[in-house]
Amino acid sequence: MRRNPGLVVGAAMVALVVVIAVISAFWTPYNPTEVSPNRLLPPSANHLMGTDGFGQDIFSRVLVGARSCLLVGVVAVGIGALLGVPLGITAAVKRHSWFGTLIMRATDIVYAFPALLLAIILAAARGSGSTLTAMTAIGIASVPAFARVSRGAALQVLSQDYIVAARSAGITSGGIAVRHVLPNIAPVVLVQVSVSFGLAILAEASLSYLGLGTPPTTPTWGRMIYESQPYLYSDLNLALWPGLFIAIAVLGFNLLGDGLRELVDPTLQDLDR
Amino acid sequence: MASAEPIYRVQDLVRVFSHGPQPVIAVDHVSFEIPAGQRLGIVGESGSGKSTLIRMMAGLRRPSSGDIVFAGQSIVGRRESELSWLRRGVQLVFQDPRSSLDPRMKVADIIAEPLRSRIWQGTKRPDPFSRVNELMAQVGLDPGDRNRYPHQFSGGQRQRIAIARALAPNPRVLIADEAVSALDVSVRAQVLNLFADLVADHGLTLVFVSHDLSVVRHVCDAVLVMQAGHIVEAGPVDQVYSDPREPYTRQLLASVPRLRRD
Amino acid sequence: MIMMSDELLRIEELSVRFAGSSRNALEKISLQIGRGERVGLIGESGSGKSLTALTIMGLLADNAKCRGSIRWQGRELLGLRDAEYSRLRGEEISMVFQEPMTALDPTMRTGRQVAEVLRLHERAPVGKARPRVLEMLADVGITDPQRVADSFPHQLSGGQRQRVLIAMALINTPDLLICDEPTTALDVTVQARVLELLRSGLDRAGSALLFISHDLAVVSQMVDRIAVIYQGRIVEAGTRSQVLENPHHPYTAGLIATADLANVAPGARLPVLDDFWKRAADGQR
Repeated sequence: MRRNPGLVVGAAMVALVVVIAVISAFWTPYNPTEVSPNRLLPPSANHLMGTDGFGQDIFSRVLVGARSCLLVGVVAVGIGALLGVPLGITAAVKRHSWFGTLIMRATDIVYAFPALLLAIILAAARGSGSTLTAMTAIGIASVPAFARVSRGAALQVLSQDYIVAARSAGITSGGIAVRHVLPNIAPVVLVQVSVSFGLAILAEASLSYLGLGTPPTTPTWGRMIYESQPYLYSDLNLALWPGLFIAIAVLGFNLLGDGLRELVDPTLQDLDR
Repeated sequence: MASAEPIYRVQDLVRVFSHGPQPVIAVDHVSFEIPAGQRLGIVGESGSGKSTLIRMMAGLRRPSSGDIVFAGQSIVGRRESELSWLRRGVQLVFQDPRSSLDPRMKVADIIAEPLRSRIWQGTKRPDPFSRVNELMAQVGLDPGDRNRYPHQFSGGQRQRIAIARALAPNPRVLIADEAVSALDVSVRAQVLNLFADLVADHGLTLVFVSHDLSVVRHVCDAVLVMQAGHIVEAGPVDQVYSDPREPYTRQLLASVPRLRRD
Repeated sequence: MIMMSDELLRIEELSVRFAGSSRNALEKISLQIGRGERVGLIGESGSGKSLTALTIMGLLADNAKCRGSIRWQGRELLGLRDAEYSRLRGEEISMVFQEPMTALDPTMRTGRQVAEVLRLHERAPVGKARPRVLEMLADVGITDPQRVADSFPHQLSGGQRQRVLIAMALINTPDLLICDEPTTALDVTVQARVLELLRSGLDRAGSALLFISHDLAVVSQMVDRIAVIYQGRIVEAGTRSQVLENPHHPYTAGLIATADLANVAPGARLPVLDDFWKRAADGQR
């Protein structure tokens, strides 16, 4: 921890987003979706960040936006990790058979598929964009990253003699995956979780901006930027705040991910022997 | 004459690796027998095929052709679920305990691993808790350390943990793959003494693989010398050590570093 | 004043402590190496022997605090700026590590890696370096230097990789070569060959040697003087025959007894270090 300022700063930024998300569940200065005649007010004591084109309080909307941002991150990363990690481990265990190859080719195809396109297809299939559509699309799009990272780490674990010992003790390959591979690749997966979280937030913002994500009734940071478009040259204020918080969240999760990577990378610790 | 039946019979064993551009014959028509209770050394350099040979004997790798009979039954061509008797009867100790012990497992769980698998279906499974304590004491570890992790032990102690795990299912054969090569020379003696004691106390059959003939001479009574997949020399260890027939064996012997005091 | 000019390295009362640790990893170590002299440093894992090598090379992480003195040809090395240290490393002092795979860059052909060392210190142009590299590879017993120079490290055997490292270490004819367990990862036959060509390479270059190992038999084959390190302290030092014929410290006696299996009857119980600690304790009583 001592010489890892990125980790500390990243953790602090992530903590900030989590804290405002929690606060927004209990308290916001105004109803974030209440339309009022006080349109496009500059920041003041009454409206800390001003109001938007519908007279809604930007500060309240930013607070509530943190919640949907985290929700999207949790669900999308959850889908990515819950599908990707088992796929990656299976591909590593079955690396000599056609099944392992098939898994990796399939994830390659998904990898080559833009999340945006996936979201458009899903939205078209369901008839409209929604938070669920966005989360599912982003989650599926992040499966290949989890699968690749897990497979690489699992291959390294599988080359160890304790795997041979487990086999000669009669442990099945499923047992080896759960008992030995999963605990030993957990740190690497954790790093990927953190990085993917940042990417998911960014992707959700883009989807909302395009109108493919969360519906207008729920404030999200991406949606707020979308709605600020007509006023971009007159009232930069509207785009500035949600943009700032997207930057904080994405940067925070990426710094956290890099910091964790440094923490778990054994080559960086060997020198301290 | 049941006692005359060897515990291992290896017949015309071949293993070819065909992953690379050219197929490699790792083990080339090897045949030998191990009488129960023998301490057999297998000596050769890396690439001689000794590791592939013992992995096939332990049922961890399939032979390309030939047969391996353990305790009267062939192990070749069987499915994993049909090998329980082999898994209970044959255990391995590896070269480097850093690689052979899962760093995220407690010592007690490592040692008890062979007791927690399907090989006990239809047989009485020993109680892991008391067995771990018993095994740790046998290999000279403090059973009070059972909840610690491998990195909290020295190299020699870690190899003792690996030996305790190998003894857990009460095997008849212990296969040691370069089990002292990664240890400090000063620790080597302790682990070799432990092997000698355990083999004597439990009436084990020992297969001891090493590139160092002086180590093999100390713990074994018979030796096979392997080179490029073949057995080039075999016999009682004293005879091979004092009167080697093959130039290759002589070269192996001459390479062992001796203490120079002058 | 002959002594002065013959002295290459003088370590005096060197102590090293890592931040957050309550005890010194090295405790007042003193060691001298004369020009062309071959000195062995023997000890077990964790004794501080590799740490000593890294300290001399100035390769310690910055959470290590050093006290005492390391004088190289009369010049103090502790506190030297890294830029000056780099000039020293590879040119005047070079090092061979235990693990030949990790010490080579897996993405670069070995010939280029050897040439790199030469170029960095002699500023020889690329084309000029090639013949010298091939000559050096042949000197360390590589029979087909052309092929080895054009191979990547993973295409070579362990013994070949270690030879490449020795070639890299000796190509600038350093004044001192430090070897840290250079043959531990090798088979005995390969070890014997590598030790032999290391000796002839040193003869040719006229370099001094600091040979670090846990294997006393190997050390005794390579050096004239031996220092024994135990828990960060040097507990015994002297010429090879002084130390091996008449050890004063029980730890040294234990290392000697465990070094050579051929001295013990087959099947008999091998002496272990503990026997000698006990004997020493009994003797004091």
